[in-house]
Amino acid sequence: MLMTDHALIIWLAIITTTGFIYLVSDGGALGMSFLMLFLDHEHKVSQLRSLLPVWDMNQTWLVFTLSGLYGGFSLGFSVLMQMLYVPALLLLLAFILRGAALEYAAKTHSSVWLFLLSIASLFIMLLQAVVIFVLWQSVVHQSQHTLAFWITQSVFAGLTFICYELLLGMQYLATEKIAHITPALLLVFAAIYSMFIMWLQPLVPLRYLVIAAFGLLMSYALHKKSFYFALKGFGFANVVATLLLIFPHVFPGGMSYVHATTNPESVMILVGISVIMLPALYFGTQAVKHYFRDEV
Amino acid sequence: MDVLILSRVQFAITITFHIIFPALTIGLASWIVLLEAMHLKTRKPHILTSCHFYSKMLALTFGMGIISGLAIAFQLGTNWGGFSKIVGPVLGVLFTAETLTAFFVEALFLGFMLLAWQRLSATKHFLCSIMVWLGVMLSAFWIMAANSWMQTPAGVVYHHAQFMVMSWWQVVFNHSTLIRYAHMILASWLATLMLIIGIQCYYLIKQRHVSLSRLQLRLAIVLLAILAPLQVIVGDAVGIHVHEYQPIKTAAIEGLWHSTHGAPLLLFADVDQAQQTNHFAIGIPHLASLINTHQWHGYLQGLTTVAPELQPNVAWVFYTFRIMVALGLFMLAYAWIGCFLTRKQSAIPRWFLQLGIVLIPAGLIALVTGWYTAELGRQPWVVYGLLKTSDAVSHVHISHVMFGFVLLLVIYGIIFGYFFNRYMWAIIQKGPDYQSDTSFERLKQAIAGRFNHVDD
Repeated sequence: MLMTDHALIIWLAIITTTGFIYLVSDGGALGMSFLMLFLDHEHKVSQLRSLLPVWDMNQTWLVFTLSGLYGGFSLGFSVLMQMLYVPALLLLLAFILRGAALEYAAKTHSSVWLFLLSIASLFIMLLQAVVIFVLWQSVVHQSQHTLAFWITQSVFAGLTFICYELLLGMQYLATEKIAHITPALLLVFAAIYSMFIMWLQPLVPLRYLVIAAFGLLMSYALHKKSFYFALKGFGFANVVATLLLIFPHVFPGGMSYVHATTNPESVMILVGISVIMLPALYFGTQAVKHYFRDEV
Repeated sequence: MDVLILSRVQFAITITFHIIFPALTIGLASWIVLLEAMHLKTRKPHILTSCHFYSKMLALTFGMGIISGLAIAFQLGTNWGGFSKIVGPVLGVLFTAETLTAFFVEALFLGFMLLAWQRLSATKHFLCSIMVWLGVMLSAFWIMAANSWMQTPAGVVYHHAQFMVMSWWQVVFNHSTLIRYAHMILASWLATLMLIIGIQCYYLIKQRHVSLSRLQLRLAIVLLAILAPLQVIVGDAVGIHVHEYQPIKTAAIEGLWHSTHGAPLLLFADVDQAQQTNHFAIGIPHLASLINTHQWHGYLQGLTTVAPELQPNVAWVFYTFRIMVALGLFMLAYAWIGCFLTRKQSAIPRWFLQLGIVLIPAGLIALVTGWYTAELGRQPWVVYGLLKTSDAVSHVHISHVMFGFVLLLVIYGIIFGYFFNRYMWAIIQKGPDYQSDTSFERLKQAIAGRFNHVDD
């Protein structure tokens, strides 16, 4: 029993991490695909080339997270997806449109497909924000706050998410020298993002973390890479903090992770194969990204 | 129309579009590996140019496969909540294993395979292609294991609406996994070979790259002539399995209402499920028993041995099976005639080339109708004999499902129906760039001191 309890927690940690890896890798791609709208055709094509070798790997992290939820927390997955029926469906269609736009733009370099790529990416970001909005409601709703408070907070949760993806996108465009992003613009976005987080995150120690993160963001002016790592680490800390805040009721409607699973033995199998395979695959994907760095 | 029917039609559309892409990906990846192996052996640059050409098609089918596959993952949760809840702990493990062992491997090496032709040596590139091919084959294995488990569930105990896994080995290698996997892989290869044959026939009619197209046509025809009869043998073995484990599906395939010894093989019939009979049936005596039991007087269970609500939609199963078999036999005949017609350097008849173009979709139609036979024949069960499809559907409002259905149909029609075909056609029309690729390869080989004569 103790073994399966541990396995459930480990599995929750694994799919949270893979979900976050997806969020950072594809979130950055979504952000910069949207920002492509403001680039000229030549730079758009450059950016497209940098996306091509890695976009399917980014999707794989999402597929893994979904199949991990499906296999490990099948009841939670079922409740979650039925609750999110319409946004999930629209999100899926936006994913299809974005994938098709990316593939077809790569074949033709057509400005129409490049435009559709940006628009589909924007839609995905908005719909992901809607998903966050709905999920946040189901989380905050459990506490004693007023209706106006949790609606406002849910909207801010969605906006924070968009802000985060745009920051990742801007950072990528700047470090890969695809476009010139002024540090001032980046800092304005970082400040808005940090303020949102500060308000959303009720855990007091995290407020100090926000202040510390501000320091890291300021270091952008000195060293660009540090900004990127800080952004990733900061995002991950927030995801973990939010989960800790609502733990163990991490699924909608106050469903605990124990109740969200239907067969703990399956989770032990999942943990077993993932612990062996995932680290190798993570470093593999990083190696591929590194190899194709100069494809821009 | 209720949520169940609408969800089933929606899933059928999703699968129909999706299945085409992995099938072509399996076939094209295999074909590219074969060509690259030939290139490594002969070092002829034009073979490498052909690889470039097919890799463009592979990139397109692979990309479309990813995004159309994502739809399935979403729909399992949105439309099939009951299924996810009950079956998730079994199939979720297989899907996760697929992601870990196949998707990541494909994704890791596909970038190298498609974009690093000039950066990697021929041997290293070949190894990357092998890895992509392995990933594709593994992915197909996990999906067929999951689907076969739904057809012939094993290794589990179904208790209080929950599956308890007793043996993962039996879940993965259930009674039908290996034989259905072989059937599917062969179907994918045949479908891709029909596409390759059609493309080469097109070039020959247009008098483009004549000697190279002729060589590739010959290679594809010979492979088709070997693999098509192999598929007949494997298909026969699948039929024996189906008869053993899903006798009602066999009855629907044969349009057999009453149990009988020495059942006839119906070539045609107007299936009347309401009256539980056939009209205008034309059949060959004893042949259905002979095929399904390998005995002249073999016993076949009839559909009326189960209540009508436990019967699948017989007409769909009956007709889709016949379309698959007819197309399979047609491809076999085409391949064998082709072996004869392409064996010498004499001109290939124009009608044969035109027929090759017409038959491009034949393999894919056979594959899709075969899939329909398997899936519709399993109804009303989603996990055969254990869980009904009606218990697997989500409890969502019909307006949501209708909204999704219409949107999906429109988006799929535009993106996969129109634009995929348009860009595939653009790649074919442009054709392999033998001239510039060959020059590049000549230069590379000249530098390496291994200059070979190129005859086209």
